[in-house]
Amino acid sequence: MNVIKTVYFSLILSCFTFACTEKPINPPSMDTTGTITLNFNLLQNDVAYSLLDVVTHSVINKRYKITDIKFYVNYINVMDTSGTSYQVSDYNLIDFDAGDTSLDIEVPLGKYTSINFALGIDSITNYGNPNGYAVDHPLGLGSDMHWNTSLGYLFVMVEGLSDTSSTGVGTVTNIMKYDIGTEALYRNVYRPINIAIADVNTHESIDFYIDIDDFFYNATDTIDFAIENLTHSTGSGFGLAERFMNNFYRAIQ
Amino acid sequence: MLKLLDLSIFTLFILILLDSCTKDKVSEIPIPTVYEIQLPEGFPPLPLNNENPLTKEGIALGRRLFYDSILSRNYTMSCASCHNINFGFTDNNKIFSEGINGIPGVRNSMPLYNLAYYDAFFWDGRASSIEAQALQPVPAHNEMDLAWDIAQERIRQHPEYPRLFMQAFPMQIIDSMLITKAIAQFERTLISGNSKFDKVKRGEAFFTDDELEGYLLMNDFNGGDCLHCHPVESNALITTLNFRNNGLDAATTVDDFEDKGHGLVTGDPNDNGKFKVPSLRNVTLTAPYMHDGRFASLDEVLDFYSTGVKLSPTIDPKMEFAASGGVNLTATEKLQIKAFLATLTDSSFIQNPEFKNPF
Repeated sequence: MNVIKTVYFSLILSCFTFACTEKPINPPSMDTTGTITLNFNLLQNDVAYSLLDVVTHSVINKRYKITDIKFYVNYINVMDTSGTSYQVSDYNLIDFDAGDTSLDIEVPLGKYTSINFALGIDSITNYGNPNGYAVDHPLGLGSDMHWNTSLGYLFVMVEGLSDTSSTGVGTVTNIMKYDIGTEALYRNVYRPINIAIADVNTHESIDFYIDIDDFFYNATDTIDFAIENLTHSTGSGFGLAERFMNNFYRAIQ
Repeated sequence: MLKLLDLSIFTLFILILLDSCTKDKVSEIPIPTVYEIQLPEGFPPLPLNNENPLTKEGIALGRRLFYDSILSRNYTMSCASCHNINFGFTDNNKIFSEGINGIPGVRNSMPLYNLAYYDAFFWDGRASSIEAQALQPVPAHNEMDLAWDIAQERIRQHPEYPRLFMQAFPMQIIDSMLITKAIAQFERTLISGNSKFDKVKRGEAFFTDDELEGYLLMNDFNGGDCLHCHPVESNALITTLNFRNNGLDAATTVDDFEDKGHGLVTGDPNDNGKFKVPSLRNVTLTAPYMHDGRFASLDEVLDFYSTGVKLSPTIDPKMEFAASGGVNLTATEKLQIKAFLATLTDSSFIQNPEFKNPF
């Protein structure tokens, strides 16, 4: 009887020991997720655009070039066929000048019907301290997206140069600078998708296309970048910033 | 039973022997002491550096090498010759430093502090690490002019350096890579973050009226508009850590820049005329200014940003007032900005005995 008790006790003890030492170190998610790559592509008048190419706006008919486009793609959520939503990523910065034009997200196995993300930062984080992050973090100093503690971060930054003349014969040196931020200009991008992540080897992609002409012209608004060329989203510049952000948001297709 | 006892004694003997052997072997190899930099309040965490972790021995060795003229062909120059601690580790107000042959360099000597945060070095960004940067001045004819194979042989034959290298980098061959690793370790410790400005932020000091006005002007989009590249209010490093064309030279095409700067490194003509955005910390110590030292004083710098900015195809759009020549500061505003800039001088940094010449 004592032997049975001893064996029984040892078994219980070893179970406890096993439980203590064999906890999985890695979260299980990697074994139950697949990958979706989000690619962001630039167009000008429906043709592929590379930064710094001088082009003529298809409607405004003035020459310009974009020197940099940066924007946050934050709080990425995917929704599956049951209506369950998963936040799969927190902070990401798309930076065309740096060549950071795509990002990978890990999503649980399943079938997804939509994806959405924020062009912006929640108010607590927005007014937080950028020095608290590693320099190469999307919210760190290296992002060059932080204004100051009262304005927080830029959500979208588009910079460029336009022709100094209206006749198209000047030099392309006229500053264009659209620094978009502040809580009022937070926008959420929604895209229906039809993607099945069947197993851990599944790697799908979603292409987003951004036509730079659309920053300045759509059915409801025209921004003459030669004149309306500068905003920091503050004071009298807020109106232009709001229009630009609305155009930018709609330009993401 | 006797056999069992014999076997046990024999096993014990072998174990003791093995143990003593291991201990002897271990005691021959020094273990460098891990060093952790104490960052000033409000500084970002340091980037990880697994390839060259800081040790007390490595830093001490690097400091010695930094100040030792053994790395110049005729034993007359060290790194410190062009990077003088009293001038924020720049070169004594010189536009271009001269090497051992009296040949001047082509760009102004850069200050050395808070380098651990950068991922590109030199005005044009041609080195991607401090180690890679430190490789270049030793063999350069217009600097120390000593081939690396001779330099490393000098160090190997030196009466003290081999022992110091053994302590800092146990069992590693002394070569150019190891020498620059040591120098880089020392340079990574050069952290400056205790200026009057830092003390004001910590509540330990107060701005004068002019300093405060200058600070506000720097942060004002319609004032000095300095914050795009030098965000003093929220950026502990006071630089955006990248490369820009700030409008120093007029150019009609991208090929018109005399010094193509970052464009020489990337091969992209659209980077022509761009140079590293320096930190404004210790800026009163680091004259002359810009990559070519064209401005002798901060007055000249402020005059430039006020009315001297020139347009070119690679002008940075952050130079919002470029079309009108600059931000058009009044004389009083210039004085106020200058007063603020003086608060960025970190006296405790340039007086830090751990950074001074050990010889």
